[in-house]
Amino acid sequence: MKKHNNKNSAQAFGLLQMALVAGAVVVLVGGAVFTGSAAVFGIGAIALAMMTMAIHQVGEAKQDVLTQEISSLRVAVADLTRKSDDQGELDKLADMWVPTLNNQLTTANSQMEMGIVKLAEAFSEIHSKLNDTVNVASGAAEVLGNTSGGGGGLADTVAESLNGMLSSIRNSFDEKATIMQEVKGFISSTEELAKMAASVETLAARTNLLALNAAIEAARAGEDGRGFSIVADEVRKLSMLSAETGLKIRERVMQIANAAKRAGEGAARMESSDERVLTQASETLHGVVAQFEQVTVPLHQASEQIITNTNQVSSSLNSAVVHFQFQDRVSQILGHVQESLNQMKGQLGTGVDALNVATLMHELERKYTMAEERVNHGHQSKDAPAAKSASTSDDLTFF
Amino acid sequence: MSKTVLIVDDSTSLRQVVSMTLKSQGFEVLEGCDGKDALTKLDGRKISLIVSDLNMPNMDGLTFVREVKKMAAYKFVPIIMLTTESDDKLKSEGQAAGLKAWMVKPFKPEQMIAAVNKLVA
Repeated sequence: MKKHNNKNSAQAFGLLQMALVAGAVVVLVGGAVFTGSAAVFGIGAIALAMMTMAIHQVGEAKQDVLTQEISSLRVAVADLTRKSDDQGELDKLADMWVPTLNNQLTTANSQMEMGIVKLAEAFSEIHSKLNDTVNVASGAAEVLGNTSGGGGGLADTVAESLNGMLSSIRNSFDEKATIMQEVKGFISSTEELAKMAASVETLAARTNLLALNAAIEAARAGEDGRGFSIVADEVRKLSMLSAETGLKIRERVMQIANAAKRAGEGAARMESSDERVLTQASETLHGVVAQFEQVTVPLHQASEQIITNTNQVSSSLNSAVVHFQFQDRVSQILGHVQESLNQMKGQLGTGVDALNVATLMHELERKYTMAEERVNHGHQSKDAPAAKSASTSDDLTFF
Repeated sequence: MSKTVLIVDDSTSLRQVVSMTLKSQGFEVLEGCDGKDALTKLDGRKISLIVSDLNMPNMDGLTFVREVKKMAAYKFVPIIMLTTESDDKLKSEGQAAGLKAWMVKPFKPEQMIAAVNKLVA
């Protein structure tokens, strides 16, 4: 404004000078013409020269003013051009750069989420298979049982069963021996029976002889001995029948005695082989159990090792579960960055003068959901909680 | 019969991790990607527990909790808030809304399992 006033006053002063000089020239020239005086004409010429000088001075002054004005204008134009350029660049910032950054952030977030989802699916599959493996190994270990000598293992169960079987066999052999003793007793009884049968035959023969003698005496007695003769005949018949029966009994008893004798001899032979069989069976059983243990012990140890290793892997997987959650945190941080970029874009759209960093920072801080974001903000606000490690969190509150 | 847990979170990978943890313990799992979506899952089926995030689009966690507490069939279902937030004011808001627990991410699987087993018992 001062420059403008100076310019105006310089112009006015120049014009005034010109006007005065022109007026003087007119007066002098007019006087010279009308009065015919050379002096007046000379004065007029001098006045003209002075006017020319004045005009020249004014011109120079004006030129100076104009030069200054032109310089000012150039500066203003340059300023405006720069501002125009800046605005163009800011427009490009808002319309090109910010959306491009947003797109890149969105793509990065999306790719990271897809990758983590796939990874988590694979881990879930591994976790499930591990659980199945643990269940199978635990079941096998339970079946195989404790092989550290405490009993209750599969080998012990098998040995117990086999020993029971051996014991049953031994019991049956013992019972057989008892039966054979009974058979031996039976044999001695049959021998006595044979003797008794022989006695019966002898008795029958004597009775027959006695009956024969009685018949002879009855014949001698004539008519009086007829009855006695009949009785004698009947006794003879009975004695012959007794002799036949005695013979049959003796023959049958001999058969039975021979059979019992043969059974006793067979049992005696079997008794010695039974003992051999029992010994062999016992040795075989112990061998089988030992071989069985050679298989079950390593199997049980392997099952226990599988369970131990699987539990260790599960523990590592549980740690991985904590780290898988990083994508959610990163996604939230990226989201807050994108929102802030969009806000900046909104401000730039209005004009560079609308750009307000304090507002951007305040709005950004308002959106924070994690302690790390508040720490990264560059200061701890009085309401911000203390920073916590992102690797683990033990914050669990029950209401 | 296995118990069903509803997991509500806008992060697919987070839902997956929680699901994996709970399924390993024999739970069945339903998923919702935000509060509004989760409400559609409460259609009369039996739910034993809800695990919900706080900051979600369409409907945030606290609003979702308040809506659930208005539903006669689900008002007594225990709800755990699982979030990166640990601000005491928010926890108080959650307690007032009817939450049973507040768990800060990242969670440890054994911690989640212990909390769920305690609340569904």
